[in-house]
Amino acid sequence: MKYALISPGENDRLCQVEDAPFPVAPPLHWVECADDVTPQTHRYVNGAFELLPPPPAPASSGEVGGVTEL
Amino acid sequence: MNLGIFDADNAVPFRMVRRVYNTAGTFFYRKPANLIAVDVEVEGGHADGAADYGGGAGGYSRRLIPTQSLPSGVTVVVGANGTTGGTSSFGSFASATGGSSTGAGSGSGGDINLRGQAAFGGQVPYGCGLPAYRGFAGPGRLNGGGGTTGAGSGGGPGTAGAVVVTEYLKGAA
Repeated sequence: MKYALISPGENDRLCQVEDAPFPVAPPLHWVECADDVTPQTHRYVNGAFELLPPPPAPASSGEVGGVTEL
Repeated sequence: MNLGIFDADNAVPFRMVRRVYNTAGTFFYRKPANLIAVDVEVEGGHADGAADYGGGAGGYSRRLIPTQSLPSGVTVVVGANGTTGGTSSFGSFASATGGSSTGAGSGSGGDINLRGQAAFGGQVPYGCGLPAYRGFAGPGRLNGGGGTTGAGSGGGPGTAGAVVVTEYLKGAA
């Protein structure tokens, strides 16, 4: 079991995950979470942790932002 | 809060001592016996830069705390840099979350709470005379800032956050 720091002032941002919580100023607060939860892989929505969607595939080397290099 | 410092008829001789915590980690602040108040500034850790983005800066919080509101000791946490910067805190009085690649941290608990400077960047179109994937890092207020972008090949590290405690102590300097 780990602890996730949630920031209500940042749209319930999952700020970080720690083995043990430390004191923080309200409205920041700690929520127990599974060991595999990280800010890079999960988000906190309606009181539950859910996996983030996978990032989009990078553009090919000859095409950036929909513009093909001539 | 009126400390009596600027009231000529009731002036209290005082001196100031500044304690700076600017390396990542957990520390313990012990309240001195002759303390009038502390002015605490807290900044979250700054995010590292990435290939196509600079790192966002941590948030900022500042709070004036009279001695009667402080316990004998307070846990001080300075957030590290990283993919997401760590949160910095002065007990439960003032905190500031860390920056990230896509945003900045914010402050909470203070008399003043500010968002950090977000990073931005990525995908400058070809033909502009600039390399593609050039982004900019968010500057910090107390200690460094977000990491630089790597212009397509990985970014530089951000810096840790900081906690600055300015003590107002009874007695002339």
